[in-house]
Amino acid sequence: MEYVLKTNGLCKQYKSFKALNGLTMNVPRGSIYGFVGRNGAGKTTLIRIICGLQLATRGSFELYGQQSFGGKINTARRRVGAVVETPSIFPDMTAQENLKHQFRVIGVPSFDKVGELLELVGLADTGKKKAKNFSLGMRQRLGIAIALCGDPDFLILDEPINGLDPQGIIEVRELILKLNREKNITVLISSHILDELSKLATHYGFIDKGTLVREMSAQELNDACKKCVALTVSDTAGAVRALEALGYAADVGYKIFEDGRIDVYAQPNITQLVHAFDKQGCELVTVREHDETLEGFFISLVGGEQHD
Amino acid sequence: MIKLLRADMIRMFRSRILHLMMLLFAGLFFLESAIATVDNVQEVENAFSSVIFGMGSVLLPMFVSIGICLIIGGEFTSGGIRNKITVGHKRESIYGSWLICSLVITLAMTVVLVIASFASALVFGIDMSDTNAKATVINLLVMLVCDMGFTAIIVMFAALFTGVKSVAVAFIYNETTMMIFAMLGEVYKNSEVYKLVCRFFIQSQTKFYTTFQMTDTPWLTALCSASLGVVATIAGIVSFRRKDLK
Repeated sequence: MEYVLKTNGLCKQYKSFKALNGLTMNVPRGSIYGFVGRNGAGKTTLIRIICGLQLATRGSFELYGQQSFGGKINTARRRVGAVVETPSIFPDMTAQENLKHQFRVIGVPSFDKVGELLELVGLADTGKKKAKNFSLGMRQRLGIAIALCGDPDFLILDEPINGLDPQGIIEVRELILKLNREKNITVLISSHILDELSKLATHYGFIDKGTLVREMSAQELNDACKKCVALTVSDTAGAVRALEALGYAADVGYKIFEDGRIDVYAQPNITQLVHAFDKQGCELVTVREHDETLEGFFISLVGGEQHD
Repeated sequence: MIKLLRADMIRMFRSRILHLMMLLFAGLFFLESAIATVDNVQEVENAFSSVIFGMGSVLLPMFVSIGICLIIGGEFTSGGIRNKITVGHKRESIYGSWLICSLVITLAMTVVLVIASFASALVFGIDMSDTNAKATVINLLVMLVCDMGFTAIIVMFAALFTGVKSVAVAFIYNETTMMIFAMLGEVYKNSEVYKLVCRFFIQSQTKFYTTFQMTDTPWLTALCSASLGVVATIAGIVSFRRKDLK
């Protein structure tokens, strides 16, 4: 798999507080990578380091194959667009003026794409309205438009739906999906709003206390969160024979884990299961219904206690 | 760097802050000229010169520092700086662009000062026949170099004390330095060391300008002020490269 971003043991320390503690993650090309963690887990710190706003205390990262400590990292950054925390816009300028300023910063000689970008983010009709008079959702979309000025292949969005109303959330979500699908832009989104993220992400990275706890694809996460009945049995081979006799297919109908647990999907008839297992000489030790939400999965990964 | 410079120049010179600052500065100049005319200030070579350099040495640095801090500080508060770094601009290029723009602002303010001085002389009928043209030009040039050295210090403050607080830092620096030199001048008036230190800071040059005396060896004063500006720029770039930004 080709990766846009790879981090290798990134650490960031502010006095005695470790914001990042050996974080290693990989963002595949073309993915929408949901970066999930509590407030203060280190999401924004990582984004600031990738964008060049802060320096890592230890560790390194690779962006489009360029090492963070190498001289060409700034060239690699030209392929990146980012909205870090609040959208970076000049409040006394109109949407069009903000975009023109960014085009000048990047060194694009023509402003032909200004209209197209405004159209893309749904701000084409803002006219002479100053950015300071925009709603939060409009500012967020203008921030994304500014990030898109350099035609980036990789878009970094830090909490893009924070503070948005439901309509604004839908607009930003649709915009991100459109950019990913139509322009094949890889997107890294940090968020702690898991439900919203689950509507977008193709890959996930779960961060806690500055460390990546787990990295997985959306498919793997779906499997982990799928409604099922979790069984522990005395003889796994016998259980498999019994399940297949009942018509369950491996991986689709049931899944066996390394610790011996068997998840049976759909809603099996427990009486039938008990009889079938008994026929195979397999003892059913425990039966537990498993219906995990994304939140539940996250809590099970990072623990339920509160962190500051 | 050229891209950044172009973008920054356009933004700065379209900024209302700069327009307002220039208008206010010219307005104050006219006011002071009017007061000087009414008071018939004749104890210096002529009122016109005294007003120029009094304003130039005291008010110009103050206006320049507030304007620059507000314009550069605006990049931190709006997040404009993030848009520059994220797209791969080096921090030294960003700093360099700010410095050049700020020096141009200082030059523009000096031009406003000179234009306003001639305009006020015409409006208030100030006699300029006694003006020592050579000394006026030399003093203006030395003052410009001193102001540029001072500008470099202000850019350093604006880059390191991000946001509006840099305005306060620059103001405190300006006023404190002026007070310190005024007090030290009373005690060490004839000290050679004091005289040498004075050459580095525009705030200590006020007495020369307001009494329209030529500073002795003006080139040395210009050189000292410029060297302080260079040191501030190097220190500013080194610190800014390491600074964690939000």
